[in-house]
Amino acid sequence: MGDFNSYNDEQLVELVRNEDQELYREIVKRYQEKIWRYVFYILRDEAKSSDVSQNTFIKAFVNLKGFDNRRKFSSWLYRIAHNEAINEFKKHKKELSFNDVAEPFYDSGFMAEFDAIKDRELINHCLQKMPIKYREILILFYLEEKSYTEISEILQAPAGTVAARISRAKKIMKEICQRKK
Amino acid sequence: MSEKKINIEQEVMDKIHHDKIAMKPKAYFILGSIAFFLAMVSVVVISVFFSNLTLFAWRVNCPMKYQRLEMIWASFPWWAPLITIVGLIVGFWLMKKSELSYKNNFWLIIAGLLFAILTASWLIDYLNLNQLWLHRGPVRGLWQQQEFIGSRGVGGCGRHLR
Repeated sequence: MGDFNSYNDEQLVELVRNEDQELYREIVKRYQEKIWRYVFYILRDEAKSSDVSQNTFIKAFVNLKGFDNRRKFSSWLYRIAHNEAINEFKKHKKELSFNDVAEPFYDSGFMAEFDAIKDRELINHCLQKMPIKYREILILFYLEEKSYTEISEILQAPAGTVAARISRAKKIMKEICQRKK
Repeated sequence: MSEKKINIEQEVMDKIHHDKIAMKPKAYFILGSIAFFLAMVSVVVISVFFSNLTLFAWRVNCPMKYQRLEMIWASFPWWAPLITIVGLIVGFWLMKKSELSYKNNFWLIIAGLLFAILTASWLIDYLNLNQLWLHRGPVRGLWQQQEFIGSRGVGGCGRHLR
């Protein structure tokens, strides 16, 4: 397989749709880790995160001809992952709510924002205690470094709602962490 | 994670190679969009029709208004506003399901849709376009009942026809 680094996602999608399905491997390679991590932070379960990530790529492939190439592919893919993860979370809500996996939250932006909270395990614990809609938005904004516009596309919420939810999420996060301390 | 990562890539590609999964054809999505568009048009048409029918049933021009009102109350087609409400709910659900609303203000779209439906209903009523289906369909029974009441001299009530 040639070098497709210079191709953007949308160009690759066009090639996969019209010329060579094998090129889908390149798309999977680009996003598998990010999608897995995103799903993992929602579900907190490694095995289920792998299944959900796999389903995300399968669904994206099956519906690839329905993707509007004028839009951002990554937002579309994250949207599918979001739907899959939320469905899985609802199915196994009880079981997943009690999972306690100590996964460090490595992100400088996030850490800078929460400078007062030095302990990464604590941040991880606080995140886990947060309602899913706030947890998810913090992950998208800080860890996945998505813009407001991208988050609004992924969550299908107006940009104003996204901004308000991020601000609320930060407050909740600080409150939970301070209580824990 | 690295082992899982490889598995995701390999398993997805294996499924593609062994034809366990295939891309849905473009026509599937085009038909889906057409179906959605038609559903939305139907919802709007049905809502306009039934909200107009509601206005039509309520419109009375009569000196003994309160007695008339009781009679109309008893014979009022309650299914009409009910269907209008159901139609609107289905329409909003369809819009929420589609990707129409996420970039726009959903409530603004709803307000616009409501405004369009009510304006269309009022226009149809005002321009008397409902005369076209006055003697047919679901309105006929109501019309005949009003005519019958009018002919018995209960205040000489009838529709205020232009």
